[in-house]
Amino acid sequence: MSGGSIPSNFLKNVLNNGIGRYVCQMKRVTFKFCKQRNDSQGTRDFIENHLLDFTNAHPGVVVYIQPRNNRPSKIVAEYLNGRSEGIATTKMPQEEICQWLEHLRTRSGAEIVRLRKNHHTDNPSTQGVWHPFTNKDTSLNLAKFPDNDSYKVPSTVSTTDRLLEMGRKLRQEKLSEKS
Amino acid sequence: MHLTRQVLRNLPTPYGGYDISWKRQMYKRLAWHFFGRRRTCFRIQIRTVERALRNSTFSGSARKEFFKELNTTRLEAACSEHGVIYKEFLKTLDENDVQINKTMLEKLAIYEPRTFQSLCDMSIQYQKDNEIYTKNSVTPYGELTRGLQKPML
Amino acid sequence: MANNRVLQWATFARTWWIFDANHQCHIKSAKRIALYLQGKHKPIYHPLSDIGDHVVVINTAGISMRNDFWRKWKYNHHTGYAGGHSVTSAWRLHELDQTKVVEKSVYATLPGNLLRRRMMRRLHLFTDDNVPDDILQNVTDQIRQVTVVPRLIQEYTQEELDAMPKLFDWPDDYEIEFKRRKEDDEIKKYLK
Repeated sequence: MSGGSIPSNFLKNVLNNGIGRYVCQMKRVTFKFCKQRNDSQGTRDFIENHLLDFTNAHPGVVVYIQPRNNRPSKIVAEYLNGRSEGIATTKMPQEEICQWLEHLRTRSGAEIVRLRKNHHTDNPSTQGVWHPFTNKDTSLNLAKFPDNDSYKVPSTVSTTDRLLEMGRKLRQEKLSEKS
Repeated sequence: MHLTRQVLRNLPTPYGGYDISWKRQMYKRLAWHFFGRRRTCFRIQIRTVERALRNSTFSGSARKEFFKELNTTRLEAACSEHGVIYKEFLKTLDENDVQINKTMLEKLAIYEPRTFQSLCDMSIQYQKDNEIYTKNSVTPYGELTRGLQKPML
Repeated sequence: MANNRVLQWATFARTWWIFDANHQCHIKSAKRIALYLQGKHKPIYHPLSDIGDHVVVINTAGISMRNDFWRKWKYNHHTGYAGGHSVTSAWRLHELDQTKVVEKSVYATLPGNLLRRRMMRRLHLFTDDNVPDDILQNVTDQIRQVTVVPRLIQEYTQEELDAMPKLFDWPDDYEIEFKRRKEDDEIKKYLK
């Protein structure tokens, strides 16, 4: 698969939700089902047994029930960021629908995509991010440029020096022989 | 999509050949992010998608090489700011059982510069103790006091 | 964090460096200068982010070359038209413009991408050490030299010269033969 064909994004949260206080991001949920078809049986059971418990527990979520003839059953959840998520609930038992509803309620509403990085932080550095002057010597504050001496390559022992040294030694040897 | 169509996916049609709409759909799934006729017309779409797949195959190795090179350049710069040769630095870390990989070293050099500085100081001290420091002490940049005091022989 | 935008100003700040080219090999020093122009001396280097520094090069008139490379090192140029090829030797180019040799070798060392011209604009070349104050006051650090500066014969004292062992003395009327091509005299009209 080429890179662009799979959507990707960075890890993020809605306005630091959950740090200090939590706001449920799901604002509206619609149950679509058929009154007579057999594959909507689970949704009908859910509405009879669990729906009032759900509404009592989560007063911040608006719940709609939309019966429609001879159409497959579905849950559609709408979120504060404007996106909506749908889940087909045909042939599902009521317990499974409870679990999917819980899944939709706890989501942030952001699209599920491939993550470029699995970690994120607002404060990447405790010691301060590197900048050109972090590792500079403080003596450079008072230095005057161009500085002619301290930036030179240290002089090596050249061949001329070695020859002179050899010559000096030879002369000394000769002198000592004579004496 | 009907279930029967999925069953008949690879079966020959009465007119010969097979149902090509499945193949076209496969390419369409990879071409949703293209612009203009590259997205809409199949004959142009298939060329672009195959090119993209070829590129992604190539970029697998190219990306790794690029990041390896980038990592080396950054660490060389970070080390020589403190007057250490990069290769010697890695050797001393290895000999002292400091098990930090190059990616994390690079992140330390950028985001936690003082930690990286202490690693460099440790490396220099180790090199001095084992008398291998003077040989490799001169770096093109870095602190003035190091390296320049002794003549390079 | 609200000030994240401001924090990176320090990280991506451009600094100014100075380099003394006196008696330096132009190829070796170009390699070193190119590091700073590209920003390869920073741990935040990335080839696409334009984070190179400014480099002020002084004493470009005093650059050195090995052996007789001043004569043998050639610079080719082609105008694009037929017969438009010209070859200039290094000493001649150096006579025309004393910053040109360093500029050309740095330009050749930098990678051939779209950032090259922009990096070259951050290279400030001066023939001697008379740098304008508005440039010199930006400089915060110096780049180390690449080769050993030799001791010139004028710098030796008479005592040291006398102590130097000699096999023979040069005759007083000795002259090293140096032949100039005729066309080289044309150069005089470009020099002011």
